Amino acid sequence: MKALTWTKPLSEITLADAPLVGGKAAHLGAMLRAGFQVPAGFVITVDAFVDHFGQLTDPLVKPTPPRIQPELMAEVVNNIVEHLGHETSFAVRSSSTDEDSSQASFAGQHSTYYFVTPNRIDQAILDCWMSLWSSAAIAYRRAGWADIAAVEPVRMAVIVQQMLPATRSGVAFSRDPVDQKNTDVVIEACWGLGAALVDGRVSPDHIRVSEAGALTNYKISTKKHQVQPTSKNYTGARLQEVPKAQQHEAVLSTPEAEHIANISQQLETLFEYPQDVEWAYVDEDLYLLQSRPITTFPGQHSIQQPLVIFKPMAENFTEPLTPMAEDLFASVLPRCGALYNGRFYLYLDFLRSFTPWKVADHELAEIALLRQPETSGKLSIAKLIGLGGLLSLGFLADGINWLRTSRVSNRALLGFKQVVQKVAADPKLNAKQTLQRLIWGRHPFEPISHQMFYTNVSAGRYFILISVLNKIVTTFLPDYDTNELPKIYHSQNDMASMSMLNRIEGLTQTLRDLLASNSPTYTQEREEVLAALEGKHHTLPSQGAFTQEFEQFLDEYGHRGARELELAAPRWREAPADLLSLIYSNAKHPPAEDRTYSSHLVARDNLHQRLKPWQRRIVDNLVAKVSHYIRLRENTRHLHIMAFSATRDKLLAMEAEYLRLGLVQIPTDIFFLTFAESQDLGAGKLDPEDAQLTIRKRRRNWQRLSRQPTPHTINIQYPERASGADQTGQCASPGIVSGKARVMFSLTQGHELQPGEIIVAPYTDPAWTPLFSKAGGIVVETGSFLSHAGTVARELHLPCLVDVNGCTQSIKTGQTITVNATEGYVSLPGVEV
Amino acid sequence: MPDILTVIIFLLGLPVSVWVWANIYAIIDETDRAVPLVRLAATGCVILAGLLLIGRTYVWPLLAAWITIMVIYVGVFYAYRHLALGVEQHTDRPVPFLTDELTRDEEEELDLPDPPQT
Repeated sequence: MKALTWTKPLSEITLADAPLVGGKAAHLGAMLRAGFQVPAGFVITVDAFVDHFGQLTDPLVKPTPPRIQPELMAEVVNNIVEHLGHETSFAVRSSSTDEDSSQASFAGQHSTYYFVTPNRIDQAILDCWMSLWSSAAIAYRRAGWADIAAVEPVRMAVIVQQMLPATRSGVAFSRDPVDQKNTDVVIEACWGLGAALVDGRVSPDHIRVSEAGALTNYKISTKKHQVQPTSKNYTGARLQEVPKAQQHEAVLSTPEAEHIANISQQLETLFEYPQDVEWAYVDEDLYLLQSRPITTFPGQHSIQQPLVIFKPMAENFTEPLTPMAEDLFASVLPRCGALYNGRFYLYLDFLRSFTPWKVADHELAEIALLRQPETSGKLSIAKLIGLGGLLSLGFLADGINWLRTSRVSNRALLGFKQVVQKVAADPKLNAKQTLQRLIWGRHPFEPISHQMFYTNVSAGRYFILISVLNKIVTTFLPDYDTNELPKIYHSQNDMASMSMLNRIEGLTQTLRDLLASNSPTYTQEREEVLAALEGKHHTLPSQGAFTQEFEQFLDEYGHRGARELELAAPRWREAPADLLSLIYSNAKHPPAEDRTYSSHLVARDNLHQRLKPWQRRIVDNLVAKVSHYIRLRENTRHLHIMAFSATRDKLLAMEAEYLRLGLVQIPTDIFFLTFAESQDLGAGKLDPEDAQLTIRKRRRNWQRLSRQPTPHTINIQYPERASGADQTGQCASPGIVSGKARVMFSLTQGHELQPGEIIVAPYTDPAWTPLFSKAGGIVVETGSFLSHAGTVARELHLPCLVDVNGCTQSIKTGQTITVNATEGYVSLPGVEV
Repeated sequence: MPDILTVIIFLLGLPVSVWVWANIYAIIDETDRAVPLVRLAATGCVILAGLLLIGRTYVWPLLAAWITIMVIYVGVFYAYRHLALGVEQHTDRPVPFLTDELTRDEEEELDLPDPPQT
């Protein structure tokens, strides 16, 4: 009998034992010996594995599971008594000899089992061993590791540890793994066990601590789910909804984050290399679960051409598109740019081909970013003639459409709704064909409203017309304040976003009336609606005035929602909770007085009185044109988003079928495949296990990419403004307002906004519109004059400043700030502008 | 060989044809039909008057310009959709928070210092 030769206590293990106990256990042992708090336990060494499996020749062929020898189980029981005497359940973790090495980590591809009771421990050990041949690990070896595995046979040790009922967990990186030059410690933290964190199933808080140990940034995410620390969660796959109040709460306090950062730096010193550390809190006690080297840093960009983000589109790409959305989006975009890390950029050389003077790269980038360039370039007559020729040819080739969009009416646009319904109901059209058909139309003889995307882009010309209008008015009236002009060319109730806002105001009033009513007729409805709004029920009552009005609203606007170009993002009709919460929050306050139309009339009359009749005719004509294109741009956006919604519906139908067949595992999996891959999966050409491996990898990469700030330029020497260095921005809607700031990172915080507060946000999109009627002003990090925040703010005559770099970090909620959207800056108390 | 006036009328006819086609399309687009009809009628009258002045022989360059614009318009429509759509996608190597996706070749390419031996 082999007595006590197959196991080794963690406390006796050093790094030199790695060939015997695997990389993970060797690191844990070294940490324990260095005095860090690691859950107690022992390791079943690779000798046990060899004695059970013999010499394996082919690492790609799964062997028959052996029977666990009684001698091993006796040894395990002895170790449990000695090292884990008081425990009733354990964590059983794999630790293979090729894991956490300098060449590959195999992280997450081998198994860990939670809450293993003594009577199931033999099965858990066997499961850990067999995970060496999981489909994920085999696919990994197939991808280039077979030769190494053949030379050095891979073996598996198993760690048996105290099971921690962690209430909070996460990872810490002792250096920023994305930016090699940045020495910040980066921490991710979530509720419950950390099992779902590493594969991207939950959204953790994102925290930065400076090298000196001070917290510099804490970004709270909406943590809807957690891995529940219960005995039923053997594989860590079971997700539980986080109580609503806790979803927006910070997981770590500042001292806790700084403590974790300090520990990760100590581990970097111990292991002489930047470390990726897994940690967990049980109440107030911090435990370390793993430490491994961060072995890579970003290399050169995979793209060589200079790229610049096109500012009017930037707000759509504050987060990267998921692979499916990127793939389908790429198929309908013209080749004037590229999708890089899920975000759309213009080729700088494409812009240069339209510029009739010599301009430096960074100046051209300024133009694309709609900032004032220092035009030092020399005008070239040859290029000017070239540009004239190009415009003439453009007019001959596309002038018909230019003229068509200059006259298209709202009524004509509505025909697109029927087209969407027809295409959506056509079973012969897949998701890709649906998007292509709805974005670009079918043939050149269709009404212009069937080419909604083209019309939308074409309507952006109002930006140029506004410059012309400003120029003409200042020529006629040199002392006229052009900040008054937006009041004249805006204020249109036939604009989709304003109609939507009016409908939401109507819903808010209906709710106010319902809540204020004392009539017994409405008692039941009121209680049911309140239960739904306060999250006690998931749905509104089936009948009642509010429900009916809300359903009518969703019929018309249900295809809208946050991040509309992202096909994975749910629409209001699928997930109306945030919208209902906003309406409920608005209903608690009396309606704001609407003075936009009266101030529009006053501004228009003032201008008219000062102009001569012939000047008035010119100005009025231009104002009408500008108004037309503003309306056209907003309304076509409202309609072309239907194309994305219809495409999403087709993808969801496909996903539901795949879920039924077991081809994908959880909802949203489909969005982490490309369209071709999803078709192959359905046709049996792609192995579901391989697909799952791909989904898992991409989901995690996407989550982490989404936390990276969007670089404005790629391969261009362009001075990015330092975050928080100043508080200047572009004036999207003129005006000056002082008030308390409300920093909001997502719409789910919308109910926190109090009337008159100034919204400070990374960006806004149409889903934020209901908040605007309550806000005193708007400051956003991403956006331009043409972006949604600017357009709606001008409609409501609300001061709005866009492109204010780092405002969500430098401005704090509750701080009294002054937004000067006429001159373009934000004043903070005690900060000189 | 066409005379110079034919060429000039053809070239002048091109932007006029854009205008005419745009108004024909305005009828398809279901915008206010009266306006494009009036515009078409007015344009027709001007062209007719011009032809009466210079001679009806020159109706052919005008017709050629009108057809040319439609051929260009249709050609551009299909060429754009078949040749100009479909942008490139670039994703840098996986975000290196965790390292499990790296192949050995990628490791070598990065030329990083060796981590401690475990």
